Amino acid sequence: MERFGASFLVAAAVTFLLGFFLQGVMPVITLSTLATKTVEEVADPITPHFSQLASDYPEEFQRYFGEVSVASHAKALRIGRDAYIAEACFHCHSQFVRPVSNEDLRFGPVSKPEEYQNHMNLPHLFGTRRVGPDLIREAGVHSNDWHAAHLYAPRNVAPYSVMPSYPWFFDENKKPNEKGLALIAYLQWLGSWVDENGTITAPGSGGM
Amino acid sequence: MANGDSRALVNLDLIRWHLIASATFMMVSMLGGLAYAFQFNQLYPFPSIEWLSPGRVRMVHTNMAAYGFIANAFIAGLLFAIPRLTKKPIFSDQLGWMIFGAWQLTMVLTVIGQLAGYGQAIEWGETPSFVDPLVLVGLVLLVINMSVPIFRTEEPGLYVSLWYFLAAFGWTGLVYFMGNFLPEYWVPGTAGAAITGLFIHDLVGLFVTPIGWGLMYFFVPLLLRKPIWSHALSLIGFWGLAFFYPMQGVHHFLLSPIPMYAQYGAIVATIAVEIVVLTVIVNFFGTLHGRSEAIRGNLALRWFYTGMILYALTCLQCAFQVTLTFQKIIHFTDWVVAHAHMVMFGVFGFWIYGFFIEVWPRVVGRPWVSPRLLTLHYWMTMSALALMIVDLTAGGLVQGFLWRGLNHWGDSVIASMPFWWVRTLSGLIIISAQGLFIYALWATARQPSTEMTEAPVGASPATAGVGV
Amino acid sequence: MAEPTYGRTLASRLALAAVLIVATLGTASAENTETLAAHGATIYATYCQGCHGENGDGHGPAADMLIVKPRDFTKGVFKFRSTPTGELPTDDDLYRIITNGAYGTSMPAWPLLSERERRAVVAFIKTYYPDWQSEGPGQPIYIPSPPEFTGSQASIVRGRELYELLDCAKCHGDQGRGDGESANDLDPDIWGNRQRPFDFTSGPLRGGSRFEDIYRTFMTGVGGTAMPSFADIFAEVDGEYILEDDAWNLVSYVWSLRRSTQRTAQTPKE
Repeated sequence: MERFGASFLVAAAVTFLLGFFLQGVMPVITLSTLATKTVEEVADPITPHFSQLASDYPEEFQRYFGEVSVASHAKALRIGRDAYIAEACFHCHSQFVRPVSNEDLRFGPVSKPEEYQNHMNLPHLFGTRRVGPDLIREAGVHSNDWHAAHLYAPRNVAPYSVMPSYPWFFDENKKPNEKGLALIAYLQWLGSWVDENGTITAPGSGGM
Repeated sequence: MANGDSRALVNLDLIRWHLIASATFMMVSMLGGLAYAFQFNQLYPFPSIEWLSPGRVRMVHTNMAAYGFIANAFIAGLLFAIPRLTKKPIFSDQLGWMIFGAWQLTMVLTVIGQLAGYGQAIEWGETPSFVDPLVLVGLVLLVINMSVPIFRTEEPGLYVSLWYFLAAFGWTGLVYFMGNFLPEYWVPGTAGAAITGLFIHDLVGLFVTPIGWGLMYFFVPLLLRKPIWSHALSLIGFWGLAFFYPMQGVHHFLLSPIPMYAQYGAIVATIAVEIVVLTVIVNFFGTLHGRSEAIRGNLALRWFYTGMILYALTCLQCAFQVTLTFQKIIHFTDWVVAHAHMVMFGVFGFWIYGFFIEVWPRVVGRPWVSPRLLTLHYWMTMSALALMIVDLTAGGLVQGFLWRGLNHWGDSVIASMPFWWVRTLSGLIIISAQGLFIYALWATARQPSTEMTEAPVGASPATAGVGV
Repeated sequence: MAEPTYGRTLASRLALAAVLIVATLGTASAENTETLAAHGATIYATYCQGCHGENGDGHGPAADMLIVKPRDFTKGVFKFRSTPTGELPTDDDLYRIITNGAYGTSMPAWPLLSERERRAVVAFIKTYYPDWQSEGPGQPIYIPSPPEFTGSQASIVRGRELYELLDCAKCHGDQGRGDGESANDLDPDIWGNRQRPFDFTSGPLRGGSRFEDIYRTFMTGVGGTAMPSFADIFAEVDGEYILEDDAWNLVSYVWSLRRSTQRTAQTPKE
């Protein structure tokens, strides 16, 4: 009887591993030809909007990030991404454009795997629901100050919005604090690797 | 529970406390869900409070539903069913209490961690990184505690419930490890998404589903007092599920950058498993055949079969919505939210209510205080959930077509408003129904003790005769 | 089939077409004045009011956090026009800004509003300036197609000479970064907001980044600000300071300063 019982445990392990191989390991193998980039690598080039943040909010930028550099950009991307995860932004915003439903016309070029092969996507932030729009082509669609006003009180900008407000990303004079600046920098990074003709190159000029 | 030196076969105290925890976290989860629903009506009750930000509360809603409500009730179910099926008590009562304590501590830490901003970015795997190892240890201990009686049993054959339980024990730890560690630390980007899809799916398919069906195979024949209709169909159902269920993870990210062969594979496996699932449904309705009046007479059975009908619907829906044709429109919309509620609450939540109905009088040693209240609870919960499913499915279609039609994003939000109001309304009804249910649990436990203590399963005087 | 009737058929078709066109125009203009603006009001309340305000004065609830302030429609002064300085913009000017947005400011592009919706918003925001009907829009300046040499190296070099000659660096800075010597001494613009000379290196240009857009911006000036129109200067080709087609050389230089690695906005619907 013991053997019989153990066979179910074995069966569970075997079927799990079979599924894991087909649905998990195989994609990993297929995609292993893509170079995995670090946050520092994808922080170069610096997005124009990160530089713009330094002139939009000079005091705050100086206080939290110092100079505009690849290092400070990488720092901002890390903090911004953490804030994005902590607030569960991924529950209401996806980060991939599908080749159907006119999404390429609405958001921009259809997503490719190499865009996600970096440590900014550890874990990935694909998302499963769109209450708000997809964000993987967000870079440059709105300005930094628009993002600030919108994060502070979304319904001030768009009265119909169901997005929560995030006043804790701002200090008393309604200027973005460290997390706020970082989140804006992160949003402006998403899709910054797509050029004006819609050509996608993997983020970060450093690697590959 | 110190009744002499001979251990009781079933540790009723432990079951009672798991059920109490389950009901508690059910309310936590539902209140979170309700608050989150109000956000969509622009009426969030705690605006601008960092710790109660809707995004964080949503993590609490889903995690407490899965790990607080369903897992606790399932542990109680295992504690109830396994010793009866094997005629052996669980490995150790002390270990059982330790697992109980550790599991509730895990839940509390999860809620605190998520509200404090330490949630992780994998759906259903938002448990903070400092909780993950604790959960794994807890799961391993649970598996040891529960599988020892199955290995020690002297019964002539392993009943189908025990197959499901054993398989679930094998799967759950692997699944939890995969989802909570691989995409977070080792596999970035698209491949990580494939593994996440597998995790989201396996959590439902390899943890919740097998334990749920194992409990059904245990309770339904007992309550109907007749054996399961077809042993052959049980076999097909179990092995079909075991084979096809783990292969469909990527169907959560169809039309994404994940390699298409993985997407097509997931689609085929999903459609295949729905056919297998139908054999299980047929088996249970075959068992019911000739005894259908029991559904009216026995509230637990009614919950079970309502859940099974919803399971059949969910699976039928799966087979369609997994196709790329449906995906174009419905992915990312409220259709998916409706689907998730139909399966997690409509199926497993309902089965748990049936389980409560049957077991609670035993563990508190008192009959249900008001069967009428329980019937009201059934009708309120069932009809409100049906309303929510229809509403969100329709809302999802509206959203999907507006997006496809290239309307401005705001148009789809504005068009969704009425659907979100109906969703909140159904949530309010569901919550009030659960309030009644909690009251019934409390009042039943509080009433003066009667002679009813250890009636055989299947002859529950309190629920037999609970009318429509 | 019957050849002799061909001419008659064509003539009658043309006549019918003419009648239809006139009828359509008539309906369209009737709609412009009434229903279009009413429709625009609802869209404005949904999508525009947050920044531009209920009263169209640029003081919506979100405005105080924006760095470049939202346009105040009540003064009838607009920055980016195809009409000469001091005149009202055409409907197409407003339509163009709504469609493409003003890059670098908080004004997003609205390509996903349908054309009718955008036209309706144009019709509505004109109602905020009471004299719009009586004054009417100015005559758009003529923008020739850019000569082939625009953007060439020689043209950029000549453009740099003009940049110095015309004192552009005084505000926009030697490298076009908006940091010229008088950049911080500018009076507030007519809406009372701080002026900042544009940093050409910061990204796509606000009035549009095509050659024609750059040409249009400095030939018409940026309304309400210190940025004048250079139409008069380029009109007098004296062969010594200002040469034939010099305006396009300045376009080339400004164009060469801009840094644009990003898509400007969502892809327009059309």
